[in-house]
Amino acid sequence: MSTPRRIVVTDVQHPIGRHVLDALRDTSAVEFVGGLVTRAGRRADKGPDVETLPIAPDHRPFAAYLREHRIDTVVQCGLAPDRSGGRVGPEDVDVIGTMCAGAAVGNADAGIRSWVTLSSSSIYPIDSHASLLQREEDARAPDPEAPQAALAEAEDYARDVAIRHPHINVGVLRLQQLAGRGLSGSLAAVFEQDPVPSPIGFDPAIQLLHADDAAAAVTFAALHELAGVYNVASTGQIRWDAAMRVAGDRGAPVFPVGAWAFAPLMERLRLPHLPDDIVPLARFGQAIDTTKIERAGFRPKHDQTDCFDAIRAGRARARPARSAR
Amino acid sequence: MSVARHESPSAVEDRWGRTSEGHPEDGFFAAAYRSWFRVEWEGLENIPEDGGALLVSNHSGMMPVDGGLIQHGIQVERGRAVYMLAHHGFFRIPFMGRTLNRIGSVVAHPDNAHRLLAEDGRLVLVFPEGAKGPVKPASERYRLQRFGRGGFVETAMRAGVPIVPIALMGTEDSTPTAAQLNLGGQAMPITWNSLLLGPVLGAVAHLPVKIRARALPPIEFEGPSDSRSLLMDRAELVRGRMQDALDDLYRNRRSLWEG
Repeated sequence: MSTPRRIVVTDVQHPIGRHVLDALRDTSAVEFVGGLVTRAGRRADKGPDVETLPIAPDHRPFAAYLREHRIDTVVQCGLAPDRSGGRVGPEDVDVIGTMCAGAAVGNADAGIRSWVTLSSSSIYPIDSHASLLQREEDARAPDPEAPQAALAEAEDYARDVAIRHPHINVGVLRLQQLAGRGLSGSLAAVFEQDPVPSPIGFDPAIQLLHADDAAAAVTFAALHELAGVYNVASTGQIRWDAAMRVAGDRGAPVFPVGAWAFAPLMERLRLPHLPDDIVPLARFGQAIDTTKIERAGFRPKHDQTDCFDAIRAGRARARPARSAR
Repeated sequence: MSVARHESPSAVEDRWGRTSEGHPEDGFFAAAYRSWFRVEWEGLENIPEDGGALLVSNHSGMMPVDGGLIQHGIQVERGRAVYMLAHHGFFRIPFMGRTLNRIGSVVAHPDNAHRLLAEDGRLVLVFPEGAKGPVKPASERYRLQRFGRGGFVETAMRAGVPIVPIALMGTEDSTPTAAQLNLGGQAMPITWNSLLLGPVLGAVAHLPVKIRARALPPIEFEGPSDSRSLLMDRAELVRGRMQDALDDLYRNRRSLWEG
C-alpha cells in the first residue's frame, strides 16, 4: 500500500461499478482511477477519467488501455449479475467479459499486480439443508442451466488465472444481495413492495449488503491486494418478520408454496407477491459467513437493520415523487 | 420525511431464531415434565456449567418428546439453554420450521453444530440414531440403533468440546410400538396409542410413564482427525456406554409408573 496505486474500474454502467469508482476516487492511496463503460451505447455518468471501452470479445484494446495508463489493479464489476432489478438468467452473468478481462490482466506486458472481480452469493444453494451461514467452500457444482453455473465457470476462470500468474493477486468477492443508495437486488425489491409480502409459515434468516459496505469492501480488496474467494455482507442476519418490521409499514401474508403460479398476475395488478426466484429464499433463507474477509481486516459499517432501514427510507423518498406524478 | 426507527430484532431472538433463553412452551413442557412424565435426573453434575458440550441421547417415540424434555430439564435444573439439531425435512413444512427455531432447534448441519459449540459455547443436543430410533420395532426396545457414520464425534472433536451421553428410560414406553408397517421401504411404527386413540390424538398423546434421565461423565476426544475408522471406534465407545446405562436403568426399574 506504500506505492500510490493506479486502478481501473470496469463496468461502471452498472450502479455497483459507479459506487466503487466513487469510493476509489475518495481514497488518498490511489494516484489514478479510471472507469470503463464496457457496453457500447450504455449511458453512464461519465465524470473525469471515464471512457467507453468494451473489454469483450476482443481483449486487446483493454490490454492496451492497461499499458497506456500504467494500471496496476483491475476491479471488474461486470461478472455479478446486474441486480438492479428483474430476474437473473445465465445470460446476465458476463463470463466472456471475465475471460477477456483475465486475458488482458494476464498479459505479461500489462504489469498488473491485482485483479478483483465481483461475484455473487447466488452461487450458494438455497434449501432446507444448507447451514445458517454459508462459507466460501460451500458453493456446489450447480445445475448447468442455472445462472450459478455461469458464475461458477467465471470464478473457475479467475482461479485459473491466479494459478498461471502467481505474481497477480486474484480476489473474487461474492457480494450478498445489494440494498441502499438506489441499489436494489431482487430481495430488496421484494421489501420495497407496499405492503411487504410475508411468507405464511416461514420466517427465514436473510441478509443484505449495503451499497456503502459493498464499495468499501471492493476498495479494501483492491488496496490490500486480497487473493482468493471472499464473502461480503453487512453485519449479521435478520429474520424475515423482523426485517419486515424495519422495512415496511405493513405486511401481506403470501403463501410461498405455489406462489409462482400467481406471481405474474399479482405483479401486473401491483399486489404484494413473491417472484419465483425469491420463493426458496422466502422459505429457507440464506446468509453467508463473512469471517474470512473480517480476518483479513475488513469490517462492514452497516448491519442488517441499516440495510432494511435504507429500503424504508428509499420508499419514503419515492412516495412523494410518485404522488407528484 | 422522518423515518420511524424500530427496535433491533436481536433484542428478542438470537441468530438461530430462538426467541428467548427459556423454553417458549414453558407452560406445556413444565406440566408434561413435572406432572405427566415426572422426570428424574441422575448425574446432572456431568452437564458442564459453561462452555460448549455435545449432548448425545437415545431417540424414540412416534412424536418424540425426548428432545423437548431434555431441553426443558437442563434449562430448569441446570440453568443452561440447550440447542437441538433437527432433520432438515422439518424445516420444509410451513410453521414447523419457524416453531422449531423458536424453541431452540437448528437444522442438523455440521457447520451449524460447530458454530453453536465452538463460537457460541452452547450445549447442543443430537440424536445419532436419527429416524432409526423412533421407527425401530418393539423387539428392539431400549436397544440403541446404529450411530450413523460417527459424524457427531467428528463435530465434537473439531469444536474441541466434550461429549456428554444421556440415557433416557421411559420414553419408549410412553408410545409403545404395537406393529411395524413397511411403506415403500420406509418403516412406519403403529403405536398402541394410535390404535387406542386414533391416528391424530394417538400421535400426540403419550402414556404417563415415569422418565429417568442419566447424564454420564463427559468424554473428551483429542482431534480433529480424518480417520473414519477412528471416528467409528469412538462413536461405538459412546454408544456402548449409553447402552450400558440403558441396560442398568432397565434392570433397576420397578414399574412403568414408578420408574
